[in-house]
Amino acid sequence: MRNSLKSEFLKLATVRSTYVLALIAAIITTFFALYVEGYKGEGEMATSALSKDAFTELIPNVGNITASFAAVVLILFFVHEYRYNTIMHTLTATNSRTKALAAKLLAAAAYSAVFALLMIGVGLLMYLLGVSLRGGTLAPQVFSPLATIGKSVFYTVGYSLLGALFAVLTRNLAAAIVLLLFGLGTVEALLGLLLKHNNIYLPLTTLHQVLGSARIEDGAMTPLRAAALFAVYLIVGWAIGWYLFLKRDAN
Amino acid sequence: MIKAEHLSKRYRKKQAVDDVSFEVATGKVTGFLGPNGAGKSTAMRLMLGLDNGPGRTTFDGKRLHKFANPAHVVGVLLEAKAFHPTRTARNHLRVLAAAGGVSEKRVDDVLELVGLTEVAKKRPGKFSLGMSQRLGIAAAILGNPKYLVLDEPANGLDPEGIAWLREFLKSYADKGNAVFVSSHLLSEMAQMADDVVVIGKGKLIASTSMDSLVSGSGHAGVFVRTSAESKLERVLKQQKALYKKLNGGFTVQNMKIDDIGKLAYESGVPILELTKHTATLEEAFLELTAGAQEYQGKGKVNA
Repeated sequence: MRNSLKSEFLKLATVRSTYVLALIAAIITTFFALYVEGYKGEGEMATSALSKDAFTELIPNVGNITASFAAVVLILFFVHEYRYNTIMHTLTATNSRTKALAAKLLAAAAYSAVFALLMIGVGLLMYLLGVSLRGGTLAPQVFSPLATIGKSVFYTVGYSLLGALFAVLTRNLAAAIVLLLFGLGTVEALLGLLLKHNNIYLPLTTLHQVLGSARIEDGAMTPLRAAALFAVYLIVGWAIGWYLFLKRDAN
Repeated sequence: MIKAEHLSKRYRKKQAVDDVSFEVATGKVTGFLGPNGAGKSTAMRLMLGLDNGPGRTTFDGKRLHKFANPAHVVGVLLEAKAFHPTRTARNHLRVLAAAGGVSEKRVDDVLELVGLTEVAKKRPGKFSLGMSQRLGIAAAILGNPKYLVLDEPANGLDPEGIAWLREFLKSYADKGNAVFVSSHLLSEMAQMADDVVVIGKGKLIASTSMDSLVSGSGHAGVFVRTSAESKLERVLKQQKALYKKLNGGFTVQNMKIDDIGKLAYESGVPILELTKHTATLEEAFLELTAGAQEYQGKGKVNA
């Protein structure tokens, strides 16, 4: 298992797309945190009145940006095994397909968590720089670091593992990306017309509630409940993915 | 020894591999032959557990997944370009080495062995087919496995590369390892393989030694030419000889050259030519797989 894990981390670290996508995410995060939130701020707000909730609002937004890029990196990570048939090497080097998939999943989750933490760090630093360039000072922040950062990391990991699941199920780059970025959201929007308020239990809507998104109106789940429900969705989805990974031919 | 038993694979309406069993001995190169679409690649994938299907394959009596580290048991090359195009050749091998618990020093050793040291830090996306094959061979031997399973490893190699591959695989087998290799280059296979497994339309046609395959061919035998054809034919019939009229003479399959010479002398048949004719692997292969071709060209080019 240790060998497989090391190999999976090396796979992520030795392809260009991992760095290119991370760089784009960092640029967008920088623009958003430094310029939009830090430098420009909201309206003509006096520097001394900078929001005490700035971090509480900034961190989930950074998580939102990061999640899409982490998801695309992981989709590439899974799909390229089939596209370039390196899955042949992956499976013949290990004595268990379950072990191979578990190593991939662990590497994917660890990557997206570290990526989220790094981008949150970049976001906070850039925000401070933006405020400083504006000549302002940071208002004392009222926020729970563990909960706020934890929710954001969970969102990124959850969303990217959902993307990875689509990659395992479809083994097709375009299909996985379309399903994640457009397909699931569209289906949930349509189902929302039928389910009315119960749409809060649909997977993506559930995940949004982890961040305490403003889109969720009254009656939304608490972030903890939402995280637990989304974790159940992921576990069930990955159980199906695991079963198919065992039963399908490796090509 | 590799022992493949009752391998089968069905794709919807097509039976790609149909109850194929054979053995691959250590210390030998075993060729895997068959026309296009015969099921060679599928059979190899079944052997390695990459495709699911009935049947089982054991390596030294154990299924591959029973070994703690399969990378040290079997090395695989099923597709030349099985690598990420932007991951450098060395990093590609580092990834595989990590998975198989192989040291990074071995990565540099195999790169040197296959002659790719100079391009180790290049992205293999633009490698020629021959260079890709070399990288694939490097990947296969990375764990110094006892068994090699190679699908068309000579494709795209230049003559020097083919000669290198031939010598490399022979010496690899001579060290007590087993090499199971498919190829369409029959002349190469004839020089390289000790044993052969032949399949056609998914079914096993032959699993034997190269010598047996060639000597058992209808093209093999003793060629005898005479000025008294009808007399020789009568004598051969009396001896219940199996023969074919060919190229102005007879090819006799079930008699030794000495016996035919003696018989002709005793019968007063003048001999103009008496030679032992060995069939080529190509002749034997075409004879064995006649009717087992999945795809056949029917047109002729008018000059």
